[in-house]
Amino acid sequence: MKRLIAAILAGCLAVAAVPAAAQDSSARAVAAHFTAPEAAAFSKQIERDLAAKDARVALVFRTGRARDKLPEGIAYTHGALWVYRTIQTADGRSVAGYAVYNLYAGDGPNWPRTESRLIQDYPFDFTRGSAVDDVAVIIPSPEMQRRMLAVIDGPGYARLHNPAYSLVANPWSRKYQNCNNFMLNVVGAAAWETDDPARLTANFKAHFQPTVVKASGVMRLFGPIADQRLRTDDQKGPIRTATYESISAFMRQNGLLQEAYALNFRRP
Amino acid sequence: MRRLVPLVLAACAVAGPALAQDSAQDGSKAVGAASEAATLLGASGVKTAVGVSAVPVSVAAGGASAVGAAGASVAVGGTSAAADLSKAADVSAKTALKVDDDVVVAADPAPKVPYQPAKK
Repeated sequence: MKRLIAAILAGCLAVAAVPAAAQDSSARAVAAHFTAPEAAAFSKQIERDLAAKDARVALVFRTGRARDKLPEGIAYTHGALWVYRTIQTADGRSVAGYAVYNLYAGDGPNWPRTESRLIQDYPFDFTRGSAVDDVAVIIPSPEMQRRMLAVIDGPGYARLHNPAYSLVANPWSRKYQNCNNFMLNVVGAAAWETDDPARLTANFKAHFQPTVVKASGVMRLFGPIADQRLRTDDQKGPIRTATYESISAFMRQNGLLQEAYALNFRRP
Repeated sequence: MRRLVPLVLAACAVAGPALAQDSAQDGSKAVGAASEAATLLGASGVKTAVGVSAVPVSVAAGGASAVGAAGASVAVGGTSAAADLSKAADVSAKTALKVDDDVVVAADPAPKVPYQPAKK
C-alpha cells in the first residue's frame, strides 16, 4: 500500500511537473509572514529570552506553514539547536548571542532533496522562515545543556547525522532522519552518553514515544509540497515522527528538561 | 491506510496550485537572501553584522590568539574544546548571559558545491 501511495505521489508530481516549493527545513527558507525588521526583532526577543533563562543550549521550533494547515498534534515543522556563542564578525568584532545549528534538506538545485546537511546559521535566518507569530522552546536541564554542548562541539555530533532525509522520518529506525530526529539524537547522545546510532535507536524504541501523524494529517501537512522527500518505507504501521510535542514530553518524563514553552512575538 | 489513497489523490489534484503559493515564491527569494536581508535591515535602521564564525564562549574568552587554534580544534571536533565548554558553563552560569544588539546575518547564503541533477 505504501508503494502504491508513493507511486501515486510520484506520478502526480511527474504529471504536474511543478517546481518544488521551498520546504521549511530548506536552508534560507523565507516565509512571507514577517518583514525583515520584524524577523530581526523576533530573533532578538528569542535570544534575550533564552539568555535571561541562562540557556546555553536550547531546542527552538518554528512552523513554516500556517497552523490551519498543520495536522492535529503538530504545531511546528522545523527545529534547530540554538547555542550561546561568541560570534566573530566580518569587520573584526566579537558579538555575544546565539548561533543556530540546523539539519537542512537539499533544495534540488544546490544538492539533492533527499539529502540533508548540518548547517550553522543565525537566529534571524530562523525567524525569517516562520509563518506565525510564535516559536516553541525547550530548555534542557543545566546538566543536559553541559552534555549537549560537549556533543555539539565534539566528534560525535557529525556521527549522529544521517544524511538520508525524509519529511516524516521514523525515530525508531535509522533509515532516514529529519531536523527533529537529528536533535533528538543529540539529546539522546547527551542523556545516554553514546554516539552509537544503533544504541540510540534501540533506546528510542524503548523509551521515546514519537508523535503519530494521522494519514489525513500527513497529506494536509505535506500534500502541497510532496516530492521525493516524503519517504515512508521506514514506517511500519502508522506514521511516527519526532516533534516538539514528543521531544518535550520525552525530556519532561525523564527529568532532562528545565522548561518548555511557546514564545509569542511582541509586536512593537 | 485505505483512507490515505483518496487523500493522496486529492492532494495531487491540488498540488499544482498549492505549490504556487507563498513558499514557492519565497524559495526564489531565498537566493541572495543574506545580502538582501542586510540591505533591508540596514535601511530600517537595524544594527547588523555579518557573522563569519561562531565560537564557544570559553574559546573567545581565551583571547584573540586562542580563537584560531581552539576554533580549529572545534571544527574537527576537538574534545578539549568540549571540556572547556563544560568548565565555562560551570563558571559563567553564575553571571547573566549577554546578548548584543547586532542582528547577525550569515555571510554565505548556502554551501556552494558542484551538483548537477541527473539528466533524463
